[in-house]
Amino acid sequence: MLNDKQKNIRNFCIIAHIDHGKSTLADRLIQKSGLLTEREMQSQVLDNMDLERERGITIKAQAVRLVYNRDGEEYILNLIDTPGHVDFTYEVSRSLAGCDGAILVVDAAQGVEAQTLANVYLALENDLEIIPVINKIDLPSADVENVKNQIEEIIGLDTEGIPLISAKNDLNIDDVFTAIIKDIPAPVGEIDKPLKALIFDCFFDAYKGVIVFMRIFDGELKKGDVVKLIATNKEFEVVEVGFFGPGKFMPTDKLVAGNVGYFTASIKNVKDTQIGDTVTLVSNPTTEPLEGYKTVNPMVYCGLFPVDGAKYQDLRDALEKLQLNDAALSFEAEASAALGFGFRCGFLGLLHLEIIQERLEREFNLDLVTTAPSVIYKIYMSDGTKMDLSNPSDLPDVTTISYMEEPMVKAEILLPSDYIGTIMDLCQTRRGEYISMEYVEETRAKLTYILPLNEIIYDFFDVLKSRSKGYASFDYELTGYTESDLVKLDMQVNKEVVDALSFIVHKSTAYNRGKRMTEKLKEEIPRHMFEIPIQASIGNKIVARETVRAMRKDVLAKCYGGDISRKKKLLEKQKKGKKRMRQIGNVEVPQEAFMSVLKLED
Amino acid sequence: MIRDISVYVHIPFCVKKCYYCDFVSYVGEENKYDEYINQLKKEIDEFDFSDYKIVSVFVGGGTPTVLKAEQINNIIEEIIKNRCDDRVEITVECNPNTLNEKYLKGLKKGKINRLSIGLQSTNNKVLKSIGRVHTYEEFLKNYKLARVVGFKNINIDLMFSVPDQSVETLEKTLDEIIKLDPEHISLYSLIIEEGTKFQSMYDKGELKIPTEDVDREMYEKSNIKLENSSYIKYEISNYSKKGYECNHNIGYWKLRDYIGFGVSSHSFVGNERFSNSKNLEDYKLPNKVVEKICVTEKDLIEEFMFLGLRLTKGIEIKEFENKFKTGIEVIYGDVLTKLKKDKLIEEENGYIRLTKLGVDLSNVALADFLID
Repeated sequence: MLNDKQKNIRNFCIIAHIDHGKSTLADRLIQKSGLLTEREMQSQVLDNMDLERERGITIKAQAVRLVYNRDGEEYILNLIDTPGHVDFTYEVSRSLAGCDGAILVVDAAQGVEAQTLANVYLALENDLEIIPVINKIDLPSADVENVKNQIEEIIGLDTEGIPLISAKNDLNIDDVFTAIIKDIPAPVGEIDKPLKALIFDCFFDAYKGVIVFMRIFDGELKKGDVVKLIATNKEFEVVEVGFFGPGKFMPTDKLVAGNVGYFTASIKNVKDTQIGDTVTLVSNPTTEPLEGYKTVNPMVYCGLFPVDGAKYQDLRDALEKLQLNDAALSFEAEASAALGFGFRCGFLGLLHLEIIQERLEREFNLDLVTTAPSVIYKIYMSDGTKMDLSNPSDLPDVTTISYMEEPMVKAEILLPSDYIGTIMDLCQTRRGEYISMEYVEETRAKLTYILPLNEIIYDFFDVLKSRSKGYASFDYELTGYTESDLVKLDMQVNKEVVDALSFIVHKSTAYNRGKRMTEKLKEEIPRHMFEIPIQASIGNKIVARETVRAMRKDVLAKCYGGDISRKKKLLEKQKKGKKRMRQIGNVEVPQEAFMSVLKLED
Repeated sequence: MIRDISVYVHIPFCVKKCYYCDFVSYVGEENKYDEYINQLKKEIDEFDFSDYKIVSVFVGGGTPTVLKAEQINNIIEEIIKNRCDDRVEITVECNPNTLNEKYLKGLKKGKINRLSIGLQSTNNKVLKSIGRVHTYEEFLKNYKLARVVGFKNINIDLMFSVPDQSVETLEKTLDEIIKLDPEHISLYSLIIEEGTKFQSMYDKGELKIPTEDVDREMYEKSNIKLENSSYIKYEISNYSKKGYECNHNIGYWKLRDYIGFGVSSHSFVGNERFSNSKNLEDYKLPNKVVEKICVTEKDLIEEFMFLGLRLTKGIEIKEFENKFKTGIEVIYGDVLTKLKKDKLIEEENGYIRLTKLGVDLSNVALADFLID
């Protein structure tokens, strides 16, 4: 039964393709509800990190409670902002599970894109009421009618009375509020039942410990309650419960069914508070945990090494700090002959990897060398044992291996029909298996391919964008493992194998990859006093070779008058450059060489 | 104690900027010559020579000979006064385009006893490609006139690895120059410097210059040719008849004190290195010195090595040890071992010098003498 309070609560999220204006709309709703004055309003309140603001993406889920008055009634609108990238699909799905409705933002110029669809499917899976909104209607290139058609044809939503807005320029935002109040159902749930709450995010606070973000479906939670987290089977005494004010936490006495809020319980480790887990009371536990929980495992691994070996401990400290807030990040110590001591780190995907790398460099001032990302291969040994391989250097002797499997994804690519040829060609060269092509409307098609994950973790997205002039969009999900003819490709610099440059590749692409890597290394490695062979090999077989020719001349002919300091600066630069290099045998390899081989364009 | 000092004067004016040159020089500022000379004289007068003995004077540029011969003589007179005798090496750089019989006679009236003529090549096509304003014939006429007028010590500046030059054109240039029998030849390999016309051409891919391999072939052939013609290579880029090494230049390699007058000039006096502003207007100001560095013992040790090793005979171990009161092995033991192993340096009769490979790769070798 709905009580009075529940009747006026709306729990909703905003979903959109990247860049379609999700965060801008969120900001505008916060501002319009009068919670913050114009001056307090920092652009994009919800994207807290500099990195999020710069990249225009949301990395962590956030939540805010808006108080909105309409016709003498006070409404509580809980907005849950979700991460906007395929790497974080699971987190998105759990955030959605905490809502009753979703505002679907579609860019009036770009129209429906792959992530728009992917997000709609996620919302539908969670039984959310979807309210489409067309944003950026004031752009010169806006084509509202066409986008309306797309929403009706591709997504199948009614567009009659659809809010046509500009979040940026504050056009028709009231229509969005009206739709939220009118079309999103109030939460159902019973206060008298045992507590059942969903964890949709959490973050670590140095003073309070883990702050758990949750949606209460049944029952109530107050300070002093002893809660149990079902999946991790941990118990904690609640210290504080509260709501999300804009940019701050607002403690309250208790949270009841239908509410979105947080609790703290002196929890030291985010690993104990898994996203998707169910919170209940030890004294009166629910018998039915919420559905949909799963543990999130890293999909992509790479080595992170400090440029300055002395910063190893700093890197460890930094990773530990980031991990406090990011249960999906894993790391363990790794030693490389070429790069010294560092860490093998696991990520949800390539974006997650890049974000962590950038945060380490910016927030912790670390200079890093990143090795080529690898997926997890399953190795089946002749003796019947099985291993997961995330570091190519650890590949056992091939003669002891029975066969190997690699992870596959189902990729959906949405693109203007003009680019079908070139993108099919791209998928083909990336060992894609064609599944289907549908015209979602006259000039737009959806391509579905099964692709090996290791073919898309380097530069697939960049190439896709450049080949389609930015118009193709792409989404993928892991489908499982397939047996595959894989080999380890080693790079040798002056006849020494560089462990940090080893790759696992499909046999059919090994030659080509080896050739491009040797060419790239040739560009990156400066000339030495001697000739340096650069070879790519599979086992003992050399598949590609380049040579860095010996340096013939490095001399200052002139004396620059008496300008000795100029001469000295030149020599100092030379010496400094040398210091930043990695020693491989007697060859000095610049740090950049390790990174540049990751980006081998077509 | 009276110390030796060299004097450098910079004349920052040219008729035209050559495409490779990054020395400070202004084109088309004829109306500023007088004011500049007055400023120079003032700067010279303000320097206290009382603890010094002048051992060389070098008037360089730019193109000093855009000035009148008397003006140059006056500047030199301002420096010399009665501080040294006429046997001190006094050099003026000249551009063949600015010379004639009357002018050379004018120069000869003063204390100048050495001319350094910028020729660069005897091939007119090469001269045009590098932006010189003169032809070989103009040079030839003036070189002969200089001899007639009585100059007995002449340097000719040449370049290699420049556009439109082949090994053969360079060899022809050298043959022609050897026939003229100058006392000194400077032979510089082209360096593409920032801010020059050559650099912007190079960046656009428009500059066709010999490859590194050809550059080294040019250098090697030049060395053989000059050494077969009684020229001694006493420094990486400098050759002379016996006894005609450029004393002024040697001063730079041997850590002698020097005082620079004029725009952008550099000085090393006492334990300080300092330089004047590169800007003609700022040079007038009382605070014209823009960079001043106190040289530490560590700096001196490094400089002794990386400058001294430019000389063909290298550095004398005993001299190092007397100067710095420490064994060279104590400071550079590992470096010397490594560089010997790499065949970049060799040791003989108490001297350490660059090998032939060491000269080609001298930056690699010399950078190692910087102390962490």
